[in-house]
Amino acid sequence: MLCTSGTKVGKKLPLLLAAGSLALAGCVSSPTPENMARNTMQTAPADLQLACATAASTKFGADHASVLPVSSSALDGGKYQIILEAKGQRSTCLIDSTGQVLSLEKV
Amino acid sequence: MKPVSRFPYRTRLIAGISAAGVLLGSLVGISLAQVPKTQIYDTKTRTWIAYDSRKARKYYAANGQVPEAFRKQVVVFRTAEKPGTIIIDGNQHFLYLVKGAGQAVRYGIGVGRDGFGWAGIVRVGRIAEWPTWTPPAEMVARDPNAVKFAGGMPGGPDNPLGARALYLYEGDQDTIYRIHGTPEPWSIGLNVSSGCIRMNNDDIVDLASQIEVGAKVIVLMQGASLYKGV
Repeated sequence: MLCTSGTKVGKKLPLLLAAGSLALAGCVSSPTPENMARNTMQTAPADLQLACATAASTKFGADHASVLPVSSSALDGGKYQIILEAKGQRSTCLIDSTGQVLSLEKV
Repeated sequence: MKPVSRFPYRTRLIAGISAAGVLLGSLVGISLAQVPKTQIYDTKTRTWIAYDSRKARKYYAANGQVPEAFRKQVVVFRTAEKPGTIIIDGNQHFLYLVKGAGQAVRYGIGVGRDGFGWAGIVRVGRIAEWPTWTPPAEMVARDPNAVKFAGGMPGGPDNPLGARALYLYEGDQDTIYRIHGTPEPWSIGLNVSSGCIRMNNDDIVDLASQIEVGAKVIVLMQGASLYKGV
């Protein structure tokens, strides 16, 4: 759309890249001010981690107070994978951003 | 609240606390572990940028407060935990006080630097107002200026524990970790401490007024070097 002539691409490349960057930036919505902080590993929100811990204690019959989320990572589609530990036993939990546990298995 | 001025003795105090933390860490056998670093969103460049001590000091000097994400606010928080429970997300640098009805009060915090992060399930064993801070014996031996506080530094605006301290216990044992105030409010949002959870003084006063001794405290920290109570 921006480029109509192949011969002019070279001369216009920096301009096109800049325009493209601006267009891309315009397509990405900024977070709200209260959400303008994160960490480099993009760990799962605390309530989702705890939802998985609660589900694990129910499913595996563990003491609720002994199940601790120890690791998490963001997946595509707004999902998170959370690793849980309870007295040396690890389990993995897949949860979506609404708090619905999609899968929960012992490792 | 204006930034607290820096002066040589305080610098030595903080350095001493850090060194004591390293010594303590080696004594309890924790290993160095990498914890995620903080990023904030730059609205000018529309990119996520690293938020370190230098940027935090600069931001606080310019604005008189921390970035909005680290200020006290009520948020949606779906949990089965009882109201009055404290949940600490050490990676995101948030402390949540569960209020019930799907809500929590969220505060910004500073947490342990690399090798000093910990996770676990503990409880509030004791609460103190303007607590006394007692430098470790090692620091007293090394720093002549700490000698006068060997018996304890009285509470006050320059005290490293700030306006309140919640002493965290594992069963009936003091974990040595606390949730406390700080004379360095710019450090909220960073991995800076020797394992304690620090909040600005207004926030720790607010938190302490709403919780009771015995309150459950869940500490989440990916990259933790140590686990307590689990």
